[in-house]
Amino acid sequence: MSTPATITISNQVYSYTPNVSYQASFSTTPANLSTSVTYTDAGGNVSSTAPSTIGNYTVNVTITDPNYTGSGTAILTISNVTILAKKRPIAHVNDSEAMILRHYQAILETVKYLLTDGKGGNLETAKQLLAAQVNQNFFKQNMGSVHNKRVVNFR
Amino acid sequence: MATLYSTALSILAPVVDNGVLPGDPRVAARLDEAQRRLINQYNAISAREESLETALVWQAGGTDPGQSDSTLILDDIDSTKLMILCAFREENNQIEMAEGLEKKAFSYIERDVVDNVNRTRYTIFANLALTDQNTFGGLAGRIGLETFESYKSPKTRIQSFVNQGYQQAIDHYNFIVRNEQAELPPMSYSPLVYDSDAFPQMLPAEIIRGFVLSMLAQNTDSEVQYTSGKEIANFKAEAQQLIQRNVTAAIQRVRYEKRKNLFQTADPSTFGYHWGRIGLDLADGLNYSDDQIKRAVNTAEELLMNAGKWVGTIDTYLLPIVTSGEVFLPRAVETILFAQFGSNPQPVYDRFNEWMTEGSGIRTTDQPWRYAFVDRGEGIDPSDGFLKRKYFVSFPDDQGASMSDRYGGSGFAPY
Repeated sequence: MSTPATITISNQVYSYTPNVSYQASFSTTPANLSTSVTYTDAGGNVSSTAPSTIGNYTVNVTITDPNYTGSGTAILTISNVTILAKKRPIAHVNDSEAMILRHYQAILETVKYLLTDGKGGNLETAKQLLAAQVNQNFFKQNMGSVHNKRVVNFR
Repeated sequence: MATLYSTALSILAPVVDNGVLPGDPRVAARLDEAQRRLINQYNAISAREESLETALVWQAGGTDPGQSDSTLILDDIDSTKLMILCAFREENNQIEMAEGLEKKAFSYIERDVVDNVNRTRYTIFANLALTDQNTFGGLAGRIGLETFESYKSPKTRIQSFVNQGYQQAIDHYNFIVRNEQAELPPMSYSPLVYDSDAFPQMLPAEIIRGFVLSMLAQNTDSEVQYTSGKEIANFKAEAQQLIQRNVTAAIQRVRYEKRKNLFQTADPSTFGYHWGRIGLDLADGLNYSDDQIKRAVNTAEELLMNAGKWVGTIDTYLLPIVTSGEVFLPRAVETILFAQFGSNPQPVYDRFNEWMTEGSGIRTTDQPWRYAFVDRGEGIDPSDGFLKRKYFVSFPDDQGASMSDRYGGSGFAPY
């Protein structure tokens, strides 16, 4: 008699690159059970080969281990649509949500400022930290090309 | 050892009517009368003292008159003797003497009843005090033994005080956890019934005891009052402080564990990591509720975002779109600056473009025309209930076709 096992799989999106196939990622509990994976495209064509063209694919994962039973389904999307977007402040609700600003010390300084009516934290310090991060990113992104140009010029 | 009826007749004969023989019927008559009066007094005092003993029932001639092994109903030969003398004085109109004798006889009865009641209560309380103090019976027993007044209270009354104290403790606990600083659920009161009923971990015996003592002190006999109003208030205030202490300790422990877990396991870019770590890093962070910290983090981010353009305020997204249709953008997106399909930048139209004379016309899945993003305003995403920016994404059906194939060789688009 086979025991129920769990397959953890969620919808996933991959950036399209020509001639690259994308396998669905998933995990089993217990770990590393043998499975079979099929991909069904919008036309209903079923394949065990990982897709490589733009489209939506229904992924079906079935456990093949004789001692376990279980299956899982998700949508795998290969897309080439990208946007550059300006963000707005939002009230984060879920712990897993990504912060928009990625500077812990700046957030901490501002939280201190807020919780102590301005006595325990300095808002200007927080802004300076963020400004420094902007400058640092600019330096990282541009030093390589600047350096290469100089090398080219020297040649 | 119980006094036999026949023995009583012999002992009492010398005091009946200035002395008669034991076999004289007047002795039995006086004995009956004395017993009747004493039994009434005994029952009255027993009721007053809330004795657990069954009330005595008088009947003529003792329990079983004439039998050698029958005993007195109220087995107290001293008070019976005094009451016989009292009756004799009354019949001789010596009222003052009679009153003195009756008073003395009644005092013997009262002494014995009170003594028996106290001994019984002591035994009950002592046995209860051997059990866990954090139980209904355990605390009732200790209060019964430790407070002078409680000998005057039967177990049930002490238990009633304990239940009142328990309810007061719950009321105060609920008052404390009512505000946002406390994430603990309120408690509901139901009276404790069995001696083994345990107090909640948050409200141990030391807290209930404070409330009970304040009430016992308030109800104490004024003649033996040993507490002032200030002390009564102290009992209650200390109990309330202990509740505050327990609530604070419990809440802070839960907060610490939760935040430590987020700090150690969450991705550093996530909201959970930020509020968890900030909750630990702040000097008095554990005094702030999770919701307060979360709200402060959200407000901090908003404040900083409104103060300038920083790393993270502009970002790229890969959208899960492969056909024409409307799509909700991620919640944090305010507007699209650029869009591209593959490596080709494509136009992003505002929401009025389709309706303008020089606009593109209405775009639908049937009329995608060509690659484009068209603003469709904001709407609630039914998948998660959040307000999001909505766009129509236009994919031409003949994507990949050449311009001449697409437009019949003219090479010109209809728009």
